Amino acid sequence: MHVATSSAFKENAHRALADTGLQRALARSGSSFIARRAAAVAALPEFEQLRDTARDIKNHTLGNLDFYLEAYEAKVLAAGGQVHWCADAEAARTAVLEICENAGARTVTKGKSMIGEEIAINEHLERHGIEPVETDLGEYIIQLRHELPSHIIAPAFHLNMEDWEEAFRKSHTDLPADRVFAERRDILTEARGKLRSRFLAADVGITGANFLIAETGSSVIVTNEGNGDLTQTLPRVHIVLASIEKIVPTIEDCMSLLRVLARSATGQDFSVYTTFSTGARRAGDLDGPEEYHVVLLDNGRSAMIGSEFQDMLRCIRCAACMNHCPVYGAVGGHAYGWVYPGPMGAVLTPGLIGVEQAGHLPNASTFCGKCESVCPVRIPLPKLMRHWREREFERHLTPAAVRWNLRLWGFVARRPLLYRMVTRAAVLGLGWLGRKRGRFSRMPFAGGWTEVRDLPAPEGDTFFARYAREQRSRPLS
Amino acid sequence: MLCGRLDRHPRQLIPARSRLPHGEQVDLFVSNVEKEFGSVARVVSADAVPGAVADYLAAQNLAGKLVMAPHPELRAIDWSSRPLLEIREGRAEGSDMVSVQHGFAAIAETGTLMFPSAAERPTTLNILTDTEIVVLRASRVVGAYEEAWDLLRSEIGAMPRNVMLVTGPSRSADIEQALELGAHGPRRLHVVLIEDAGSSEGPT
Repeated sequence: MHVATSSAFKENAHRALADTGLQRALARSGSSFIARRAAAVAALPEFEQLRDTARDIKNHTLGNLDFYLEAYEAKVLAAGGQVHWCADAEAARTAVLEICENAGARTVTKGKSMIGEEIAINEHLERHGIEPVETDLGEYIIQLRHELPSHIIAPAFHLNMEDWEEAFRKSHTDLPADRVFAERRDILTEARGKLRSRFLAADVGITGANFLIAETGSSVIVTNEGNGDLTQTLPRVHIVLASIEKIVPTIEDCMSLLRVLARSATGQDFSVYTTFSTGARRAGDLDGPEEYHVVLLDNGRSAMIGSEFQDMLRCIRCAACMNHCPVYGAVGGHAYGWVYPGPMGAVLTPGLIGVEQAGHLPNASTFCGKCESVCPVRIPLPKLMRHWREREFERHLTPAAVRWNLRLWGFVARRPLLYRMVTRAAVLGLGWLGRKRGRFSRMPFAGGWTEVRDLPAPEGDTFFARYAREQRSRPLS
Repeated sequence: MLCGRLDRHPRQLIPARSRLPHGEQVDLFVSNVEKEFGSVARVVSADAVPGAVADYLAAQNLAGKLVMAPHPELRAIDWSSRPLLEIREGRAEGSDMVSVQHGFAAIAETGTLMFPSAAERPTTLNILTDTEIVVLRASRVVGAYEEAWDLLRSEIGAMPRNVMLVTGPSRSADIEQALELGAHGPRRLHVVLIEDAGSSEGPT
């Protein structure tokens, strides 16, 4: 298991803000994702309706999850594949290792899979003498650098050109010293050349799944590089890592979700390779794997069904929420401390590793609502973060000072007359104290706030007072 | 009720952009392939395919050595008109540089090609070579994805082992989020589009 550092979010965030390389990468990449999505959305007049459709398909599926999962399994079996039901990460790791060992595997190629990160499959295979080779370009350099991805669709989001060159010079020991990495193309060509032989030699290929289709028993992957297809076509055995909420009823449902996925993610109309895999090689086929396994992971998801967090299971992992998030844009993905960063991670992570460990994440939000406004399946992310804050409060996980202040505020806020008196006294008092400078650079009990910025002195009166005054002075009609 | 939904597989909203007469769907397909960094050569008949393939390879400065899908439609073409093309039939191996694949159908909506796997349409031809050339009849161009799946359901029936939807050549934006063509799959995707009878019959 990756050791989660989500409980150290504050320290992680401070480190991230001081990391000049990371800040350069965030400044460069953030706006390009936003612009590309906006252009793709503008080119499709039906986009908002398609978001409703996508939400409804997912809600229908989650409401009948047991039926669709069983229908799916029956179709996989009929197509000559196998489904391995895994309650937790440990069970999934064991299932994958067993399939690899039965295949006598020495090397395993891997397409990009967030479930693979969630169950930390690479470390597990390595411990048992099997070499995993990440083949997605971003995942490949992350593996060379022994890091976690910092973004769910762009794993190397935090890196700059010089980081790529450094990692390649260190790991590709046959590289001539005079080899030039002047352009991004040179990096790409080097990686393509290196990975080609790994694709051809691998005994097992492991991919993720963007969708599972109950109607046909198919797993669907979406890539731009083609690495996922080489991974699942060339080796003798194909293992699909998927979680239970990836299921959709039919091909038509899947196509509707695909229409919003790439546009929300990279701003493409459609990804380069969208591939439907169904079972093992058929009689007469000249290529394709001889074994097809689906390792189907729950890991806490079924417990979210029927809870206030069920909406989160609609997520199709497009990353639009983190691409538009001011907090993610300031600190990057690693600060979140586990597999899933950004707003979707702030909701999902406490559900998977516990609010005790990940309670900071739903607090690390300005609640600006941008994430919800771009989510292709309309997940109310701020509302779900608020639910986690409530859970955290109920379970006495919030610091004592915060709890007392919240309690005090709650006491006052439930008594309107008292609330108006207290706020009016504060506004008038602060306004008088700051009448000369117009701002405060220090404030008792608010040092954390005034340390990095000034507090403007209130001017005039409270909203309530002004509203009441204007109501009185309005002429009767 | 739920079983009924699986059997009926109802369509959801289909964007208006592909709701066009067939001739315009073909044009939309071509422009979308080009937008996604692929290329298209339109030819009047199957007889012109070998010449189009040879011309494309010469223009790209590539050797005329091909691995070709063992599909009846490709076999029916008289390749001897271009004796310098060296053709092997079968799946692609790691050393193959150029593949010729049979296009089952194509989708105008996003310039997407559909390749259901079969003995006569190996999957490796889509992914393992540097250059993929697709021979496609214009009558096989449809508007939306759903219409391509209907063709697959009615002509093939059960779901093939692998169905690839391919939109342009391989690329990656993993290095500094800037797009570079030629990641792990083909660096070039070229469609030889045969303007067969079906395409000119469509209402205009």
